[in-house]
This record gives sequence, structure tokens and C-alpha cells, in this order.
Amino acid sequence: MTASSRVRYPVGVPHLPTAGILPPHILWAIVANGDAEQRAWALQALAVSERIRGRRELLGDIATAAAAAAPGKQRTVYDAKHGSQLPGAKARGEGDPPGKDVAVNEAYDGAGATYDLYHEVFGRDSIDDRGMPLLSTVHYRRGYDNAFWDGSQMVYGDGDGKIFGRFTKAVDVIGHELTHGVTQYEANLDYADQPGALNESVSDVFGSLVKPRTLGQTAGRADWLIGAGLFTPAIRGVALRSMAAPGTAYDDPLIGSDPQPADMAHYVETADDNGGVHINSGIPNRAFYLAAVAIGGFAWEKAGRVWYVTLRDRLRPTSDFKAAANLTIAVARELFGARGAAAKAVAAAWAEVGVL
Amino acid sequence: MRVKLERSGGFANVRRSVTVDAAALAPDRAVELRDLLAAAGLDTLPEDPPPRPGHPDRFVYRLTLEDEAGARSVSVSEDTASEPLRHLIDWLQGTAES
Repeated sequence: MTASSRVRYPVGVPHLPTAGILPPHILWAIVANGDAEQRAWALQALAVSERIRGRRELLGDIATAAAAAAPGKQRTVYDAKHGSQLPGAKARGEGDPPGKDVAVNEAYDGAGATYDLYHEVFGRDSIDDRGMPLLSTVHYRRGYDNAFWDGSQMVYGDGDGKIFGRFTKAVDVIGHELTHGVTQYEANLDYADQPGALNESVSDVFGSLVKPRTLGQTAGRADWLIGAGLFTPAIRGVALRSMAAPGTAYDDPLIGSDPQPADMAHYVETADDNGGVHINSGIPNRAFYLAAVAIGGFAWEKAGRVWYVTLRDRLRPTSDFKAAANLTIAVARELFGARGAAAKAVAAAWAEVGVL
Repeated sequence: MRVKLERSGGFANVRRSVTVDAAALAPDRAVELRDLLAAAGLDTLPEDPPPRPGHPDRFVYRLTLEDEAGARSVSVSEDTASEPLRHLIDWLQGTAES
């Protein structure tokens, strides 16, 4: 079974026997840890509970209460042992003590800190809001300069050792990848051009909240860097991206300079990188930073909540920057008052970056 | 014949590029490159890859071939690259590092 098909619900499953009473998080654990037969059974049960959920939504609060009661933090970290087969060999499960492998421990702790952000601040139970297990694989391939979400799990490389060290080193990378999963289950933003840059930006936005939350930092004190510490000392740069000052994160003879624009006047048209999704994300990233700093306090409390509700309930696959701007302003008004400081700060931020 | 490999995208989006000139290679390496190119099926690939929903942060590779016939450029997302194409990409990257 391929990695991308592993946790997808099978479609067109014929009439199934009663799925039983196992909650989704246990079924997901069986998907992750069971043998082929157990896995197939658990996936069938999940498909059934998916259909039941469709009906439960009509019943309203009972279903919500039942879903909220499911304890969700279920982390498993795997070791690809420098191969490309996913997920690899199980290295650490939920509740297991730390081992000797730093990357395994970082992937575990980072997934936990990100889960906690979503759960404690936004009331979300994991990636799918139904306790989906958080699967991570470290030591993917050799010298692999990347981290990604494959549609069902997070994957981290060790870096080539010349430009990059291991990608689990910065917790915002973990928050970024996990958020790609959240986006897939919510707005499901396209992965090209402006919707793609928004997809990238919301991953940076929620990734950027994880570290300051663990440190108790206000918006004014956070570094607003994505991937600080990933570069080796040989590279001239502080991080991969700066949300406060896009375009300033690095400038190095080997890898060039940070290509991110800070406003719409410098929007980059390119065919590479799916239409510059990691480049133009600098614009909505800076809008979030400006809003969060203007509002003050902890960034996740107001700006973060506005962006979360927008991602969950308002954005659509084809939403562009202007749509995101108008939707976040509308959500800020609903949550914090039509004439409130939050809505004004959000509107001013989008104006500052030239989207409105 | 020259082969240029450009990598964009990935979480970091740090661009990397390598150009290999077959004429400058040792004869056995030039044969390797020709065989890898023949197996990679570049002519089946589009100039720009179609968007891949649900596969964020993967590398995007652009391969440009220059020979007497001119220059041709194709692009592929890491997660859709066939095994033979993967071998070609790894070989080109390895050649750049050696």
C-alpha cells in the first residue's frame, strides 16, 4: 500500500457490517500499527464512521460532544533509515520515553507542541479535528534538504550537512507541515499561484505560533522567523523566511538571497515552485505579522483565532489574497467586534502589504 | 549535449542548479548519462507540471536538454517522478557534488 493511499478513506465500499464502537483515534492507531488485515479492517470501520458522521451532523450537539470527548494526541514517529519507503520502522509511539535519536524526539515533541496549540487554543482535535494520529517519518532518504506533508503524514530529511542540518530542528517546520494537513481537511487551498501561496502562508502562520507559545512570548517579542537554525553555520542567514521582513532571511554566495516580497508591488510571477508559492507567501505572512503585532499580546489569542476560523470556515480552494483579506476582516469583526481594534488592525495590515 | 537540472520548491525553496556537459565527461560517464536519459522518458513530461493538490512542499525539478536539435525543457514534481527519472536526477546531483 502506498503512503498516499494509506490513510485515505476507501471509496465505494459496499454495505459493511456494523463498525463497532471503537473511536476514530483507536482505529487510526490500528491503521498505523496493525498488520495488513487489521489495517484494512480499521480503514473500513473509519469509512463507515465517516458516513455515520455525515448523518450525525444533522443531530448537532450530541455528535459534537461525542467527538470532543475523544482524546486525540496519538503520535507515532518512524525511521526511514535513509530510504524512501514510508512510513518506515516505528521508532517511538505515544507515551514512550525519549530515545537517543534527536530527530525522533524532535519530531515527537514538535508534533505534540503543535497538537497542543490547535487543541488548547482553537479546540481542534488533531489534523482532521477527529483525533487523527500524527504520523511522522525522520531520516528520509540521504542528505535530503526538505520536509513535507505527503497527504497523510509528515516527512523530514536530515539535510545535506553543507547547506542544511536536520529539518526537525526548528519546531515551526513541524507546525508548518502539520498545518498542511489541517488545510487539506479544511479550506483545501489549491497548490499553485495565490491560493498556493495562501496555503503556504497559513502553514507558516500556525507554524510561527508554536515556538512563542512554548516560550510564553508576546507578538512583540517573537522572532517571526521560519526555520531558524536549519542552515549550517557555513550559510549566511538567520532562517528560511522572515514573516516580519520577508526577503531578509538570508543572503549567501552559495544559495543566493531570500526571494520573498514584502508587498504586492513586488509580487513575483514565476512558473517555478508551483507559481512561487513559497515566494509570494511572504505577502500574507507579513499581513499576519502586522496584524498580530498591532493587536498585541499573544499572537494566537486574537490574530491566530481570526486566521484559524478563516481557514476552517471561510477560505475555499481557489481563494486569492484579496479574498483572504476580506474574509479575515469579516471574521475579526464577528469575533472581536465590528468596530474593534482587532478588525481595524487586520484591515490595516492587508492595506500595508498592498492587498487592499 | 548539455543537461541542466534546476530544483525549486520544497519547504525551504532554496534553488539549486547543476549543468552537466556530456562532452566534458569521462567516456564511461557520458554513456551512463545517455542511458539514464534514454530511460527517463523526458519526452512524455509537460513543460510545466500540473498542480498537485495534497502534495505540498515537494521539490519541483526542471530539466533542460540542449543539443543540435535545440533546447527542450520539461518539469516534474518530486512525488510523480518515475524511478528511472529519479535515477537521472540523483545522478546529475551526484555529478555536481563530486
